[in-house]
Amino acid sequence: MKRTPTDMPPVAATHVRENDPRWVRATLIAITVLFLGIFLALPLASIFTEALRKGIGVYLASFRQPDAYAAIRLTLLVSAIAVPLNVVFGLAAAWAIARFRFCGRNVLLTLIDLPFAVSPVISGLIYVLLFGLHGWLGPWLNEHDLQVIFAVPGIVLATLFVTFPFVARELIPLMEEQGSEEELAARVLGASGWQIFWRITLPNVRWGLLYGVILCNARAMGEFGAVSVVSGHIRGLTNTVPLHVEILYNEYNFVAAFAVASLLALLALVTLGLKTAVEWKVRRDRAESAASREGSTP
Amino acid sequence: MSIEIRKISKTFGTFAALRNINLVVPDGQLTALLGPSGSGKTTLLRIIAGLETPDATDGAEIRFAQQNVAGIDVRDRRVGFVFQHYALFRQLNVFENIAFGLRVRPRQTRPPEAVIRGKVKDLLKLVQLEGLEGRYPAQLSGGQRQRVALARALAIEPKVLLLDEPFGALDARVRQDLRRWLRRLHDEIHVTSLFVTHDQEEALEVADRIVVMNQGQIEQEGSPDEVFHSPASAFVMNFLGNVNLFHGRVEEGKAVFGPLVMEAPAGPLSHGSPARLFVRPFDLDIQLQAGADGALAGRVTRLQSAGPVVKVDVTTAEGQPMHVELSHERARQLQLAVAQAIFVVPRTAHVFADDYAI
Repeated sequence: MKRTPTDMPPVAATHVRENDPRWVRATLIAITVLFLGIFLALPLASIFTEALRKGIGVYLASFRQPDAYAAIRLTLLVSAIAVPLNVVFGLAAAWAIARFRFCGRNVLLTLIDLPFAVSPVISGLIYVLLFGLHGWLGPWLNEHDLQVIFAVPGIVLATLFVTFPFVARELIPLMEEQGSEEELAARVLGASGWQIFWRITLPNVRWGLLYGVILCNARAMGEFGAVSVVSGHIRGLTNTVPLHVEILYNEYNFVAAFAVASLLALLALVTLGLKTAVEWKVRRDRAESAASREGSTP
Repeated sequence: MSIEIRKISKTFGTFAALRNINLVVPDGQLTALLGPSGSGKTTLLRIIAGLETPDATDGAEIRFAQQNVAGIDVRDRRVGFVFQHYALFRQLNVFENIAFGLRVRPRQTRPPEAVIRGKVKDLLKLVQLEGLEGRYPAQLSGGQRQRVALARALAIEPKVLLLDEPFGALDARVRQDLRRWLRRLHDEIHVTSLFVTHDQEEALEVADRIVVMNQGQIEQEGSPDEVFHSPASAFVMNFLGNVNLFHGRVEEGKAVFGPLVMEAPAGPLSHGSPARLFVRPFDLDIQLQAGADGALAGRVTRLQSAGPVVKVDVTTAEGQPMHVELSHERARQLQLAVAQAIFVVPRTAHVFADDYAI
């Protein structure tokens, strides 16, 4: 395409694309829509159609089964333990990493990322190796009549491990960006450590923290691999929702399987909605902190 | 409340930020810590506040009105500190920012809500921000933020007020207004104040006393007049405004710079040792004939008369460029023109031994 410099618009990049031939744009859009449709919208729709295939009554009945009910309760319990613990850990780790330069800081950063890098199945196996009957701590636990593997504690541990990074990863860049000057100012004004934490640190990162919690919760409720290894699949006792779906499916109980799966799908949709809303808030906060810094430097 | 600093040093790794600082900041005065970046002035300010710990040397002391505060935590030191970028609490509005220091007090010493409200109102009035108490820091201009930071620091009734580059982050116009305002404010409240700056004009205009720092040491302290008119070292002379520099040597008890002969600087200077002559541009006069005293022959290379003074660039016979500032009246008398041959005569000059490298 030939153009004289005068009709070159100031924001050339976006305009050039608008001037691409119509068929190029149409093809690109079609490919994207097709891809999204086949790989995202269609499976999502199929979950709900399969779940409602035999009517709303059968759909609702699937939840009334004691096993389904137990699975839902267990999933809620596990995330109710794992999410708060990881919030505490994430805040502590992010604070340490963002505020201090210490030896081993990079090691800690890498360790926080470890659960992202390791396959969830391996994460589960680590706990089996540690706490299983033939594992390192297994005999001792057995003597004291404590059961970790194939019981709720093992599921909680595995979930904790895989959801480790979410809160910390979200907070570290935010806290590094905001710096520690406000906290110093609060200290000079006579605030104690807890006062600084509750009045300055926490309010400053609240949206980032919420974002981390949402992601952490979604993963805690949806985790399959790691939990599957340590759970033992005992119906009504150690089955979480994702494991329950698998069992139902393997038994050709499709309606029930999809009905329970639809719960997870709904959770995903709600998470996405919340995530978008909070993301928007976080971006605005960051823009504000950037603007306040810019405004104060000539 | 006066501040006394004795034998304070601070080392970061192998870098000596402060070397054996001894300083007294008199009660109720506004003192400037002036120096180039890296001179240790901010480190000294942060040590006084308690944000940094000085090296553990024998006899190291920081006293607020006789009381040694070296072991007292920053929380309990009761200093007002204004950060360079203000560090306002972004989640709190102006009112709550100012009230913060009162609200975080332990229950026994916390004033009742009505007292806090009254106090914040008074401070808002003092810093001329009435009506903005509901705004958040992001909604304020740079100058307004600075005043909120000042009001917040004053709310705890600090023993001393410390300001880190208080005007550094503002544009030139606002800076001018704010420093006059700060001077007036200080005349009103009279709290012992120490501020850090690298801008000599700012220090000369605002401060009662100036402490000039260089490479972790104090070069000179005194009133603005003293440091400006009787600089103790070549560094101070050079840092506090433009200078013309001449190299010469000591001969028979006199400092000789070509045709100029000056009193030699005090101190044991041997015959033939190098010396430097510093003359400010406005301490030079231009004459059309060589007078009885020594004068430097030169040629006008540039004339600039737009401004409060006439700036004349001269190149001496030896080829050294010089800057001269004349009053408009004097310039009219002389009727100068570019390329004209003239003589430059120093009225006041400062001679230093050649031990300092610029």
